[in-house]
Parts: sequence; C-alpha cells; structure tokens
Amino acid sequence: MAEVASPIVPHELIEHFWVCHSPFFESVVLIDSASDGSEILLELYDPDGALINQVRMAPAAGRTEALALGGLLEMCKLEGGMRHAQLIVRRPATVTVSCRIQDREHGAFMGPATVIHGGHSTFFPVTCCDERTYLLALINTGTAATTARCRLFFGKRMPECTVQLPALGSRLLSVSAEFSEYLQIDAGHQVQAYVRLSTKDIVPVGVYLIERSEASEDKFIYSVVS
Amino acid sequence: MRSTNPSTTQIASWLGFGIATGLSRTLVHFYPSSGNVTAPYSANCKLTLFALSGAPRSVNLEGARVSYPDGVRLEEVFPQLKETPTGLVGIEIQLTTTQPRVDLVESSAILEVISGGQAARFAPCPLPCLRETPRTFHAIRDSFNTTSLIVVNQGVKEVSVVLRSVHSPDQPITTNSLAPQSVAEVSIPDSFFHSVPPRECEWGLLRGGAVEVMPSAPDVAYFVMYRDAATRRPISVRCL
Repeated sequence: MAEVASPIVPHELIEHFWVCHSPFFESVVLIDSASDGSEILLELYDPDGALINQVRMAPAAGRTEALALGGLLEMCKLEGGMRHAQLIVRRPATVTVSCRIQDREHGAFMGPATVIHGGHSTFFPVTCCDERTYLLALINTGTAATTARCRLFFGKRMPECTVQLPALGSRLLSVSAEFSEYLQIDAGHQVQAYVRLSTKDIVPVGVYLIERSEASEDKFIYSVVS
Repeated sequence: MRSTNPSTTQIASWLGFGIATGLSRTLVHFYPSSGNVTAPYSANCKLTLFALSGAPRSVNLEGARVSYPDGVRLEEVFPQLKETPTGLVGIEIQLTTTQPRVDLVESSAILEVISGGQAARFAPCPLPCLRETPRTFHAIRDSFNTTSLIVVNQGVKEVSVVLRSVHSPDQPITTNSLAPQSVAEVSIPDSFFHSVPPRECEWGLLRGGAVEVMPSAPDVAYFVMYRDAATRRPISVRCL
C-alpha cells in the first residue's frame, strides 16, 4: 500500500462512500481482487472538500483486505465530535469493494451512496421514538458547491432545512436535533415519519441515513440505508 | 394503462422480500415521485405477496400522493401474516397514477425488516431486473456479521442459483434450485470460509471473499443479507 501524487490508476468504476471515525464507530473498507495486479485508488476528501489522503493499493488475489480508515482520517476536521469524509473509490471491475461501519460489538454494511440531483429526490423512513436517533450523511460528489434540501414529513407537519455542500465536501445532519421542535412524542410511543432529500441543480449529492438504536443500557446498534 | 405521452412512465414497480415471523415484521415504504412535478397528484400503491401457501395475494392502497412518502405495515394489509407466520415472503410493489402528465420514473421504495427492535432497511430491485453481468458481493464471516443471499423468484419457471468465488469461478461454491413464485435464503457453506486464508483484524479473524452470482431472469431479484453474528438478526441488506 502506498500513497500516490496523482490518480493514474486505470479504472472502470467510480463509487462514492461516506466514511467516518468517531469514539463510537468507524468505517472499514473491505477489498477483494479477483486477480493479482489489479490496482485501486482511494481518495478521501474532508467535509470542506479538501483532499486529505490518497491511497493506491494492489490487493493480492484470494485474500480480503480490511482497511480501517481511522489513521487516514486523522487530518480530517472534527464535526460534531466525528471525523468524517467522502471516500471515492476508483477500481477495475475485477475488484470488489464494500464498506462497513462498526463499533466494538456490531458492524453494519453500507452500499455506495444513493445519488440525487436536479429533479431526482429520495426519501428515508425514520421511526421517532426514545430508542432511536438518526443522522443524515450527505456527500457532494460533484466539483461545484450545491445546496441540498431536507424536508421532514411528520404527520401534517413538513418543516424543511437546507444544507450547504462544498464541492466534494460532506455534511452531517442530525434529524433529531434539526427538527427537535417538531419531534415531540410521548415517552414509550413510536411515530412513523419520513425525510425527503432533494437538490435543485445538477450537482450530484450522495445520501445515507444512519440509525442508532439502543440495544440495552449504553449499548447501541447502528444500521445504514443508502 | 396507456400513456398519452409515450415517454412518460405511469407505472413504477419493484421486487423485494419481507420476513413475517413471531419475532420479525416488515414495513413497506414508498415515494411516488415525478421529478420536478411537485403537485400532489393522486397515486395508488399495489402490493402483491407471493411465496405464501396458495396463490399470490394483492392489495390496492389508495390515497398516496405524488411527492409524499408513505408506508404501511405488511401485517396490517395482509392480516393472514399475523395469524400464520410465513417466514420469507416475496413482495412486488407497484406505484401507478392515472394522471397522464405525471411520470413516475423518479419514484423509489424502501423495505424495512424489524427483528427484535433492530431494523434493516433496503431498496428493493426495480423491475424488470435487467442486469446481465454477474452480481458480486462480499461473503464475510467474522465476529460482527454472517452473510447469506436472498433470492426472490417471481417468475413461473424454476431458476438455478450458482454461487462462485471470483478467485476460482470454475468451481461453484453452491448450487441451488428455486421453485417458481418463491423466496429462499441461500447460505454460504462453511467449506467456502475454510478454503480462504483468514485475515487477522483488530476485532478478530475475518474470513471470506468476493462471491458472484449470475443473473437468471428479469423477474428474479438477488439481495445480499448480513446478519448480526451474535443475535442472527438481519442488519444490512443490499440489492445486487
């Protein structure tokens, strides 16, 4: 594994992931090559879109590489106590790449980001209750700044907020904190709500929903939908 | 349904699966969307369940609106799932609108399987499943996750499911047959995990590698499912 100065790896596929390192969980990238000699390039961009790391790898065939990203995110700015970034994977079709967030006891796989852009919106279901909290991770996969809009559908209420995303940057949005005044529910109750994400221009934005559910006292399980 | 504009899509449909047991239930979420058209035109959602005892069953849900996400618990619209827990069920989700100018091509859906309070949400496979190249995924076994493949066959023909390691594609890992109108969870055999060198990680030994499955028909969908290694509950599902 070696750092490179420029993306010279011949690639066929480009995938975008949101990755992170925090006291609670971190991202691990799993890489598997069907044949020796295939190279992939990993690029990490901090929340403001600055390139903070590039890694070129030529994984040996027949053995899964597991790359914990904590060390590669050390130069990343902290946001909400978490170092997070956009990971761009450039790979040939013969290499399989997966991403997993994991803490000490659990791991949840995440696919490449769902991408929205002008006119194409997406949605996520959120279950509002005491035991679950939600983070939206947004990554600007384009090379121009853009604005994403997030609308909560909570009964008849539909508040909206906007998120500014620098080129290649990323942002985190806590659904519970951003819409706290609307998410007042009685203890022990559950309410089904939705968030809708959209943009107005053609800059593509990748989105993930991360759920933290309380498994037992002080123990949490994370899941991701993209 | 006939469109006045041949370029519009007034039907959007997906194929997926749910789990209906005493401990697990399934929610279907849908989002009729027409891109930049934000007027709340009416839309309908038809849910069809198969892989049950007897013929497939359908329910039409009225009252959906374009640009508004909505959802239902499967057991509310198919009460028989409460009375007779079925295990894996196949689900077709179909969104329609009678508005000729509304194009539903930007619509989406999410299935949510809840087991013991833990939810796994995933996008179903858009129909028809047209991908012709092999679908590749990581088959992993470690202290966090186990891996299996869910195959949903909505067609009228039996399909053969052959899993191969990308490292030795000439030797199938496992071969299964799936009856028409059925859903199956295909386990990755122990022999595969024993055949690859383990990697020592901070969290223990990780065994596995990339596995591929060849697509078989446009009405067959494939999902990789990762379960929590300790509780065996589904934690991540992804359409291949």
